[in-house]
Amino acid sequence: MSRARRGLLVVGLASGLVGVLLVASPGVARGVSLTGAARTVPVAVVGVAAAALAARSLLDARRGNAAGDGERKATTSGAFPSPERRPRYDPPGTEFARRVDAIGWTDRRDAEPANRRELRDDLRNAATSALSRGSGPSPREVERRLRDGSWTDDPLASAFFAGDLVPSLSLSGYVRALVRGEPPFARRAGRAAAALSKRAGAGDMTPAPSADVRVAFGDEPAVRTSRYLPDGEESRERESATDRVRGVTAAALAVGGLGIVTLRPGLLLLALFGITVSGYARAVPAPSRAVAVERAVSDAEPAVGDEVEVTLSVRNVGDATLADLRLVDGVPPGLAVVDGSPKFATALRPGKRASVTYTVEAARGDHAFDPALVVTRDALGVRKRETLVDTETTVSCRPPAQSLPGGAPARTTTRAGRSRSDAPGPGVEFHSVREYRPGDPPSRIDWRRKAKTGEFSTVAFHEHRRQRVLVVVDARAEAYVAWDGGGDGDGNSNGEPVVQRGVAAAAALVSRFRSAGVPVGLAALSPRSCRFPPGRGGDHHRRLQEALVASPALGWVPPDGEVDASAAVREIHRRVRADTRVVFVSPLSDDASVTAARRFDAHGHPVSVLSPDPAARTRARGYESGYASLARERRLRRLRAAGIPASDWDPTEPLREVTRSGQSRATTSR
Amino acid sequence: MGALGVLSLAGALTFGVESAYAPGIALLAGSVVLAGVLGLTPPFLLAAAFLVLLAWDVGKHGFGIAREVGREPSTFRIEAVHGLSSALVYAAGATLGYGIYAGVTGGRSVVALLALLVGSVALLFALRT
Repeated sequence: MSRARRGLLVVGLASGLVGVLLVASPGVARGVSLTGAARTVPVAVVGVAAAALAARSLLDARRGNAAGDGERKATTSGAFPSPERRPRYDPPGTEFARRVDAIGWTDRRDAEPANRRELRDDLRNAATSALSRGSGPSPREVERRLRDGSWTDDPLASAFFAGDLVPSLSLSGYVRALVRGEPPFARRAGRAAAALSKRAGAGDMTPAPSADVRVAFGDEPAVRTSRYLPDGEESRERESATDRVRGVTAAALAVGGLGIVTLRPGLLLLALFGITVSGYARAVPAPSRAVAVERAVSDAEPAVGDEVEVTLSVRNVGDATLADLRLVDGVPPGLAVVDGSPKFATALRPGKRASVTYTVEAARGDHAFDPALVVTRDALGVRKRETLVDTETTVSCRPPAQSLPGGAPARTTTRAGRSRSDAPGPGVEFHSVREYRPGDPPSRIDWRRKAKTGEFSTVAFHEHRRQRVLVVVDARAEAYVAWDGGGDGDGNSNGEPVVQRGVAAAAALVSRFRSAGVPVGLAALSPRSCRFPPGRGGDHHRRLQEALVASPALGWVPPDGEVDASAAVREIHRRVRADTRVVFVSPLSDDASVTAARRFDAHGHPVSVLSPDPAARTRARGYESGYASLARERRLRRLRAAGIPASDWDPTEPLREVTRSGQSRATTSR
Repeated sequence: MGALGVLSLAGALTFGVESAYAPGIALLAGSVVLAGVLGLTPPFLLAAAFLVLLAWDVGKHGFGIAREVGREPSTFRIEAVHGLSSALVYAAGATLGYGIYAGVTGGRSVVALLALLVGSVALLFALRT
């Protein structure tokens, strides 16, 4: 206790004692009568002091909240859990829309507005690539058209490439932009992206971001119950006072102060409520936590798309009535609540039970429930206790083993050299004839042709190599793009990340390769580890299928960390043989995915890319989705230009198509 | 002012509009304070403040539930428990305080009142945590 505080304490005690003494024996102070300033000044000072106390109390509360928020932000979002929603997956192009949105009014004062320049460069690259593809004009010609604006009818869109980074506007134009609330450069960027999509044949796009993206901007992320309380040893439980006490006390002090200053006993009496609440908050015991929570699911191993009923029941096992009990079930991120609500509130007498039933829709994967969050409060709601109650439940939803077209899987072992490779070389099956080069073995010289024409030529056969395949799934946070456009457009439905389609395709590929007798492995390009070098046999295959369903690296929650694509590829490369073929399953949602594929190529692996299209089912018509598909097409073209077969897969098509092409050769390029 | 507050609050609580609730409460609280300054007698003032406080409390509680649990589940039970117990506690506190006030007023010295006020405010400052 500081010296000043101790002094105050002494003054307070002494003054209080004097007061009590004077009340008890009024005769003592009969001689003293206060007049004038001596009478009014202390009253005013006390009143003002009370008001100051109220203000400080409010300030403290605000600061406490702010500090608490900052502290919590590191581990949790601080918002109350909302497990009935899936984590929000950004629709394709959200990143672009965010960058356009970040164009502010103030960065125009920078000498070199870097973000504007980068935005324009990216859009120009996409434009050059999109407009010059096929039999279009040369890139140089496209550059020229972009510069002089003859590529589009939209004056604003052409001004994006032709005009300045910081457009100079007339006064009226500036006022209009201010009224519209959108910086002119951002407006032009949107128009340019929309015009570009139209030119590139992607259909009409509005020059505004679509509703899904706007929702993704402002939306709070869904919070899991397990992430709600701050991390740490004692984080299973938290007890706190609600801000109710502070609010009432501060108001009572303020009104009491006013009453003292204005000499109104009625107002001073209102401070009674503050005293009541403060006293109650001190006297009341912490709310009980004696609850037992049970969870039952109607089907622990449903098929994909089945509806599973979850019943959560809570029983008061203590001997005090729970006046205010709120319960939030820890629905796993992959399961979407389709009916009912996983939250409820009730009051429970000792020994009573309450329950809630809701329905979730099963999706592929192992889904372990998070602990249920129990919040108990006392009757007045001045103190609350939050407890995480573990009840282990897992819903395991595995798609049935893929029925393979073409009869039973091959039973023969395929040690060295069953699979025919496309490389010409020694072997038994004819591949081609080419001219003789010194050093070719005499046995492969076509002697008949020599006799007929007098020229040496060499016969090449299909070289038989043993093939090994590694299926690599792109599961970086960037690849967690919503593939159904975020749902019905109002942002309320539960999206599915395109990664899940990639995982399903990977499962089909693994089965296919296995039935063809090819050793196959699995890896995830993710900060979370998931690596299985190519192998064969039932056990290995089961492990792979298990990982595809249950590995956290391939789950429903985007990973937290960043991953350096090149380093991750090097890690994978070091664990497999150099001649292993890589099938890279990636939505190609950013440039790093192209880098990853090319790194595999550079390490000497034959690479093919299978890219599920996140925009296949989207109905979004905002400029950002147009930009996203343009950028993705550009990435596919870059891959193909680098000699990497890349196939664009519409995930609404059956997987069989994919696996067929996956089996025959490298996935074909369209 | 009070009528306006009542109107706003009634709308807020009936239709569950949180943005109308805070101004309503503020208007009501303002009118209570104004009445106090203008010299309404203590019992009426206490009763008015009690009702406003109760309205604030129940509203806050209700909107808190809606935010945390959602609007679908039935919340009548805990709202009733909460409302009743709040009313009870506040009423008891106010009655007790008013009883003491009514019992000891009159004929005391101003110096005693001042000493008590100074003492309590100083103690509040000193013991604030």
